[in-house]
Amino acid sequence: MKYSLKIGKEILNFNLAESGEIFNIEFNEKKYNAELIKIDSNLYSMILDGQTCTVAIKKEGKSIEIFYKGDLFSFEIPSARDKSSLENASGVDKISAPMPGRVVKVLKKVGDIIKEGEGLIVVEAMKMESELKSSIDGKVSEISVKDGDTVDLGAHLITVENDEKEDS
Amino acid sequence: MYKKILIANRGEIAIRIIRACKELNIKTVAVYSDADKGSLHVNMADEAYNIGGPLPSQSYLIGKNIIKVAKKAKCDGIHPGYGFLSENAEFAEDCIKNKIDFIGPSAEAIRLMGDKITSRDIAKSAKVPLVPGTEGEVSNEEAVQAAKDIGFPLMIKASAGGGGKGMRLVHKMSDFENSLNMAKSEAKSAFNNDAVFIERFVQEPRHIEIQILGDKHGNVVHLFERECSIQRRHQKVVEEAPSPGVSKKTRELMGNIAVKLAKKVSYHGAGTVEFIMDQKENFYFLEMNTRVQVEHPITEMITGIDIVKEMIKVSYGEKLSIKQKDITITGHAIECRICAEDPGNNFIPTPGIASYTKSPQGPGVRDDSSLFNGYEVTTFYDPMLSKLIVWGKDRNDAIKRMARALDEYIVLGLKTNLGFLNRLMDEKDFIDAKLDTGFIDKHKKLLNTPKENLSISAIAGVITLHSGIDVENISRDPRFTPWKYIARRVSISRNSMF
Repeated sequence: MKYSLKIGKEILNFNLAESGEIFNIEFNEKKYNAELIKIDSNLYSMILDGQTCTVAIKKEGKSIEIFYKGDLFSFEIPSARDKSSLENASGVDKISAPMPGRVVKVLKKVGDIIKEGEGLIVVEAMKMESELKSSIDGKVSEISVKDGDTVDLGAHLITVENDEKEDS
Repeated sequence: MYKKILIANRGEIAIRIIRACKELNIKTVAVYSDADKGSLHVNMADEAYNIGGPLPSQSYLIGKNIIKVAKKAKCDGIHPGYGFLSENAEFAEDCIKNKIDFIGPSAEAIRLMGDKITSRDIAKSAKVPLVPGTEGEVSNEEAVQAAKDIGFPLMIKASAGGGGKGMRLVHKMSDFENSLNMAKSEAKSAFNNDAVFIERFVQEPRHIEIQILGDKHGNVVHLFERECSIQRRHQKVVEEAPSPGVSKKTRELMGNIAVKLAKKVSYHGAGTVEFIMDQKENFYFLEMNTRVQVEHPITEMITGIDIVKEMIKVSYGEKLSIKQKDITITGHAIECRICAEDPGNNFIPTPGIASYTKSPQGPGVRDDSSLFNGYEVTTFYDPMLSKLIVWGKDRNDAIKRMARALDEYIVLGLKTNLGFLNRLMDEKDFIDAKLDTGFIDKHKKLLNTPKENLSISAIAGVITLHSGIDVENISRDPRFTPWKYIARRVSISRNSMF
């Protein structure tokens, strides 16, 4: 199974397989075998390739906090936006729903020329409207929703492509 | 002995004083602000009274209200701890006027030693060494002569100064006049006053302080020195006793000088005489703190003397239970101040809730803490969470023990300096005792978290993410059907980010 975690601006990618109590994890081109044993409410003993590491863990909504050797690391489960901004390098900004909600208004149509930071679509979730913006210059290549649609978390909404990059 | 003492403080020092009182069979009264209702010191005292709003100026700093509570609760003593009203001469006077003992020195001693200028004058008259410099401001001609007398490197400082303006560090005579003129013109434009004075610049200074104890019968003893050179934002973060940089001869000299100074103001109670010391053991008077010091436990650990209990006893009028010749140093002690702050971001405080905490245990470890699971760090008070103190048979033993204890310390929910302290105990220059107040600036790499720790945490994080999904969503969402569950699982495997 593939997973990502965000820390600061960095996105970390993992491949995780479960075999019994053991997790086989690929991370940063290295392979690990890990087991997580609960000791106390937030306290865990992680056995990582035979080495014990005492970690404290807090999970709240989209954030996961890990305390290890005096340092506190705040990870976030990356949103669709984080993920799509990762794909910018390929000249494509695929925007998907950051939360389950409703499409208030699609601001653009296929073929429109878009500047970086320009609003593409307005969505509503948790009684808050937010405008999703393009993270690249380009052209709208695909729209999967229309005004008033209800969307699930992660559903594709709109894609902006950068022609120059595609050509190269 | 006192029947009931009010502790006019909060946090770990209030707890420390309550513990001493309990061991002396004295009843305790806590006071608390609205923000501290759930604090540990409130719970540990025999009685507790609310004294107002969360800001110190609305509660812990209003002496009148605290004295009112003390009278109502029939207290015969007030212990001020450190900070807040501890060095407030007026408060000390008001306590006495209301027939409640102020557990500390006389109001007069606080007044004399609390003022930078009068304390310097008293120090001078007691022949306590001061940083060599000019007496006040000087003319250009006097300045050149003074520079020759004082020696280099020296500091030119604006009399009206502050914020580093009008300050010049000069290393040699040939630069002196030029620097003098620049300092003067800078002072003129910044403060509209070009008066300057000159002082010896103490290179790689160490902060050394002497603990003293005095009774009301004229006896004063010293409990040797502490070194507090590891500082950030001009505040101490790691202290140790004895100092690895102080020889037996200097120790004796400093101790005797501190006692002499204390006697000059008929000092009673606990106090600390602070010195700045260069790497050749030349030391100069900085100031005197007329209260119990944050870092008093390390002195307790190496001398076996309970400073807080002594304070209470001498305040009641008892003679000091110890004579100078009976006080000896056994082993070495280190204290780390565990603070809610971010070393990676200029040590800025990190308010929040410590949702889960665990203190170290085992031989030679003492944790003077106000922490508990759910403890909230607010912006109203100091972000110090705890003082971790260890004792070892020698310095190396103590460092190893501190490293071990820090490793056992867990604080979840907010950033702390634990990781930084952890790395400090492994730092060669710290182990080799190459200390000065600029230590942290010289060892900036200690501020950063090692990559390896991030990797290990990330792995724990991804396991949490993986195993947390099923558990949390099923238990939290009653509408969660097996069908949705499978759908979610499918989407999980498809979209790597969920």
